[in-house]
Amino acid sequence: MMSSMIEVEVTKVKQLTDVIREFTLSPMEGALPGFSSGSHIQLHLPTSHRVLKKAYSLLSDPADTSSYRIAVRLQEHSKGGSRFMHEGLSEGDHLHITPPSNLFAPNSSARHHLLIAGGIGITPFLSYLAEFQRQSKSYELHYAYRGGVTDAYVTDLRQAFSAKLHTYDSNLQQRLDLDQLLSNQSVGTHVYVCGPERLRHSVQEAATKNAWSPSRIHWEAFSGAEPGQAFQVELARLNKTLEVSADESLLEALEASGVEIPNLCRGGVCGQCATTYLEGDVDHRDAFLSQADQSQQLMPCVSRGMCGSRIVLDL
Amino acid sequence: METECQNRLPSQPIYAQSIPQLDVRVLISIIQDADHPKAIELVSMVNALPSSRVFTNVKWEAGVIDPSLKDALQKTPVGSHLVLCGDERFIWSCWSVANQAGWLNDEMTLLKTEHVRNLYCVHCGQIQPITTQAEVICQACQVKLFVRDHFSQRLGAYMGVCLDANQPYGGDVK
Ligand code: FES
Repeated sequence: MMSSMIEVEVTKVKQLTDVIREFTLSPMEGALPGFSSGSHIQLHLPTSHRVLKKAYSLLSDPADTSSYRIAVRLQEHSKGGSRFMHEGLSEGDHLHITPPSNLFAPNSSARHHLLIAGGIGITPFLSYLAEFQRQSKSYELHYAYRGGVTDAYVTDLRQAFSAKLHTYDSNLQQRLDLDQLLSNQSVGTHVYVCGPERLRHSVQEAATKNAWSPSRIHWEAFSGAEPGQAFQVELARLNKTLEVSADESLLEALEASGVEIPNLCRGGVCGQCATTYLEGDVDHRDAFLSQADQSQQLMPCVSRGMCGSRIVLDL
Repeated sequence: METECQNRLPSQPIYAQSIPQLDVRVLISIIQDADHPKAIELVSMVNALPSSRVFTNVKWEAGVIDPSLKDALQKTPVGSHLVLCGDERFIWSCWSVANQAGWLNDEMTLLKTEHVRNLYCVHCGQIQPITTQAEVICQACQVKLFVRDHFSQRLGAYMGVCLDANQPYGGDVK
């Protein structure tokens, strides 16, 4: 069921800011599979206690399949993924990745693309821009960051796309007024958001206030699972009990015990990992299931059992 | 009352049974015939709204409407709603203009007045107006057509397929 893995070599590591690093991944031979703007890959990271699977957006130009580029922000409370990428990975290392898949493609019938990025959320848009330029699409990019910390690529963007770029540096108290931005768009505009949860919420709020149809709003959850509390899970059909520790996701715990669940985004948006549960108090953290469906299903890539509780899965 | 939603094909268009209550920024209504009872009801309702624009007795032909109206459709702010009121041919003609301007299906209400619709002959590509009949002879190739419920949004027409497989030609050819 899992798509076949590809072995790549880390051919370049570049420190972009204090907390952001860029990695170039090259094929062992030939070219890598083609991809479309907004695609991501999963990296399998061999950390000291287990193999972590992390999804990252491809930021390179889709026309170039000689290598893939990704950028990773070191998360303060990293569960090991971003820390491994920053401290355990160097040029010449080999890694396994999945072929690209796309959950965040630009809408093909949009007449204007409004891109809103927060910090490291700039990455998928870098692959959009190359394509938009080639196809002479109408777009504008609003990029909010903390100067010197999360402002990756801002110099390059200023050089290449200055007319379409609007930047907001929180160190300089520059604010992006979303209400104003969204109240001024004409029919045919689609908005895309990538960045921290609170940015997505603010966009959603401004969109609702301005009566935007939900079909015009597209977003990418790139942060993955947040840690939580430890809990227990029982697999009813396999007759097994697992302990899920505070710093791993339920999906990771299942995989570690040999249970493979289909998955793509590992961020609670794609719907691939939906699993039926029979009992238990679930802390639903996905953005995929409706409330009604959440009474029977959960997304193990992000959702967890309530602290100290036990959930029973139909597995 | 019409019961068009029962057993419908996924491609079959959904027409509004009544005019919805809308909380939107701008409401645009495009009306084929201002004297039709449904149009009168629509106008009296939308006239009470703060930012409503009504276009009546709109000139149109397949996929083409008044250029000034097309312009208005492109410049409307996101968060607006469009009501298309007329027969099915009129509605889908306006729909294709609106769709190109960037309007989404959930931003449009389709209010059908008369049963005049387009039929597409899958054999020769002719599009002709029909009403409620289930069998029609193609104006161009004379094949006897069965009117399917399958609807193409792009063509704004229902599909007409050969009724009698033993006679896939026009006229009396054996
Ligand atoms: S893997 Fe996408 S929702 Fe869980």
